[in-house]
Amino acid sequence: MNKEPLLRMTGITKHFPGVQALSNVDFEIYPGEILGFLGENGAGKSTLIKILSGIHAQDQGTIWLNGQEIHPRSPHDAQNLGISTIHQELALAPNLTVAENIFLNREPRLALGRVDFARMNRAAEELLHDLGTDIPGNKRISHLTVAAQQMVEIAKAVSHSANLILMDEPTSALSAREVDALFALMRRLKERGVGVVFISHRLDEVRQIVDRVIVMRDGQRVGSLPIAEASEEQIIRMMVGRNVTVAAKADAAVGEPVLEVRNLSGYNGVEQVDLTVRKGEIVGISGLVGAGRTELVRLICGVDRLRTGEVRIDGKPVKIQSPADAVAHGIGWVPEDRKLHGLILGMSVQENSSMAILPRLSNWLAMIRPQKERAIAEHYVKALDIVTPSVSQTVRNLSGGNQQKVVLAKWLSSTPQLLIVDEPTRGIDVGAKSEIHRLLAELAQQGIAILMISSELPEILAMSDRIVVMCQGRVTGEFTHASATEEKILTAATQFLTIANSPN
Amino acid sequence: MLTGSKKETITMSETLTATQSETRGDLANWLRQRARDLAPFLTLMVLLIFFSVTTDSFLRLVNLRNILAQVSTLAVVSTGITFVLLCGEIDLSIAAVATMTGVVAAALFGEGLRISESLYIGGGWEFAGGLFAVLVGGVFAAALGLLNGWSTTRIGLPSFMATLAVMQIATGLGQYFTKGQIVYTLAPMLSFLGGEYIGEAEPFRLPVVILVGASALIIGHFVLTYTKFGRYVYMTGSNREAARLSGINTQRIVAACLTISAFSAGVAGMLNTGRLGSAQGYGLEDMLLDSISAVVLGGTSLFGGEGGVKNTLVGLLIFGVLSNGLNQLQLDIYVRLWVRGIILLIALIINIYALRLRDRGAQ
Repeated sequence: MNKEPLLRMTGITKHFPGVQALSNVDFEIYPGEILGFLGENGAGKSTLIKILSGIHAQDQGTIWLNGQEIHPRSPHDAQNLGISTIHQELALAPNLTVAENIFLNREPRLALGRVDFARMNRAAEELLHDLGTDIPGNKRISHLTVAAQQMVEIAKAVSHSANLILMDEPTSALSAREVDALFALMRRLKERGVGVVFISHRLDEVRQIVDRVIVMRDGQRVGSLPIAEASEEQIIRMMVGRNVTVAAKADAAVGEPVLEVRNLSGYNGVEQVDLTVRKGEIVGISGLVGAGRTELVRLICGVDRLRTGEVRIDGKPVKIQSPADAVAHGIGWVPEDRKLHGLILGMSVQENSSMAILPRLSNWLAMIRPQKERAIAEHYVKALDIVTPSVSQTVRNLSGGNQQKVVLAKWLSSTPQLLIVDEPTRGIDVGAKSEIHRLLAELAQQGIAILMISSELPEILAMSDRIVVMCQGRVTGEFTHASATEEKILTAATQFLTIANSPN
Repeated sequence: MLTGSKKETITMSETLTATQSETRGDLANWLRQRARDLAPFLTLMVLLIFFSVTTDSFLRLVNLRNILAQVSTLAVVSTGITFVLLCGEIDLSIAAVATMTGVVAAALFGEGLRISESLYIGGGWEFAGGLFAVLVGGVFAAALGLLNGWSTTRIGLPSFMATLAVMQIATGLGQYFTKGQIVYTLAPMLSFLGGEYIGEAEPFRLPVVILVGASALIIGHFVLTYTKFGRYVYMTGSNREAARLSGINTQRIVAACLTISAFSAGVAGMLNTGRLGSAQGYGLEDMLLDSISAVVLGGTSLFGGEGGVKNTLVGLLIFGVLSNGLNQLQLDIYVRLWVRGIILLIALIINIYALRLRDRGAQ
């Protein structure tokens, strides 16, 4: 690979108010190379990607593509230069169909400018078939699961026949099978001489697919290594600047059942689920994306309507008809998508941490007591080690891991007896991840019942006292910590044939 | 640094430049963060200076007082609509509710007056009956607001459509009851609040309506800034789903905001009858767009979650200064309206650019 680089960036510097996002970063990728671009959240990876894709302009530095200096000024510009991007946050039009999204702005035409829908749908389906999924081209984006949407996004990027594709955490919402299909596609792109930049927090994936890694830390390039010469520990040390060990859950005294679910079914695809979570216990729910895990939580928390079944809290049957009821019964829920469902991004750390407990913080005039509110926020900033200049910092400006801790703070301040965490470490860097794991284990030790949904098998295997596996809305397996293995879980998770493109 | 990583050793010179650029960055950052509040304030200052320089009469105390009096009724409605915009909804029924409430209170008082005269009951009726009419007016307006809230939250109509329907109902009923007639029987309380002055000597005579408008703004500001309910309003407007999942009954918040807005509109409608000395089934049509434009001019977002009564105050002043100043310039009446429209458009464009500047600064 001693050819001329496909793309070279030198001395890239970018300053945001209060943050030096990138300082003097060099970056290069060769034709036919899959490059792992690694670093903790906030290390500057996404900023560099955004500069390349024309969203931000660099303050200093130069970009060469095929030996020519380029200045991508807009995403459209970048696309014309042959640079396609899959952003971390999906950017699809929810009310358009799969094919309309993929071919947005370059639809195949018939006479009189009419769109050739048949051809467009066919072309979209072919692209998606190459990715190993069969999502119908005429299906609306809003009817797809997150995983399927991600596949559409990938298909869209690929369809631009770009010679450089930037993938910012493309696998975070994908199941193992879909990841395999994506990797197969990446290898095909590689053979065609396309350069692929791959950002992921899952190091095992990185090892599997990339040729070389570039590691970032604090807006600077720490180094670059061929993957064959890099051990996992070495990469982590470069990213974090220290050694990180993966915390396993310590055994806590398991007590009385806090949550008992009997024969629960809903209109959202959940069928006859039985589940028990006891005091001090972490119960992991595993399964492929779309297995109905989040839907089960939505039923328990009163977001979706029950069809049949019973929920008991502390042994007493309860009727939970709204999230407010769930909160009143001591249930805290850290949702899968923290930006959409967990946080109010424009509000401060303090305001976010007190969201669920304002009635307790108010006086007889319904006025919020600011000192009390502040004290609680400051307590959790310290206890959870949230890195923020102050509790009045806007949550939008925090990194993913710290945002997740703010969501945790919101629920911990409400002193829940049951904490439901849905993909608690998605999109979080290695360091913050093990901190979240340690926190969850500590909370269980303090006697909180924890229900943890996770798509990451190592997380499920290390953390759970018991593991419940779901597939197509049903429980298809239950294992103790000791008896669970990856193979057993995967077998249970694929017990029924799964259809990746149907949310229910 | 927001990265959550450990500090690295850096050389002395690097530290120095970093601190310097950070201080400068912090000021710029602060200005950016406040862009939503600063841009309207700047617009107001420019207008004040412009009219003070170009006309002799603008800066007189009497004229400044007139500006305040002119926007006071509007201030009451605008306080209410601020709640609705903050939680991400809209209320198109306010002008109609205001008109209808004015008519209802006046008609009710008139009926009572007629009955009391026929029964030879003495003067004591005037105050008690006036109070009764005003209270019924307030309840009536709030009930229309509840109807708005019910159709928006329980039925699930977009507030745009629900309040449009209530607007038609209220307008229609107002005209149906008055049949184009003007009702002159006003509760004395309304004449006092809407039309009288406190104090004697000329530049210091204070129109009572200014006090009413100021009270509405102060109460609104207090509720939105310091109470639990106010926080819920902002949360509902910023991220309704996250608020709901945190155990907040967001439907109740939306319904409450629509009720507050209709109630404020009712109060403004009754104040207006007091100012004019009569109630009629038409004439307040401008109030809807005037109040919404004042609130938005002040920098409150039409999409919820950002802004507040402070912004509404600045917006009202821009609105008042602009209308009054253009009068002082003695422009042709046919020129005035479109000139005002153009200036409002420019002010809104400045707001948008200020926000873009802010959002570009954020990551």
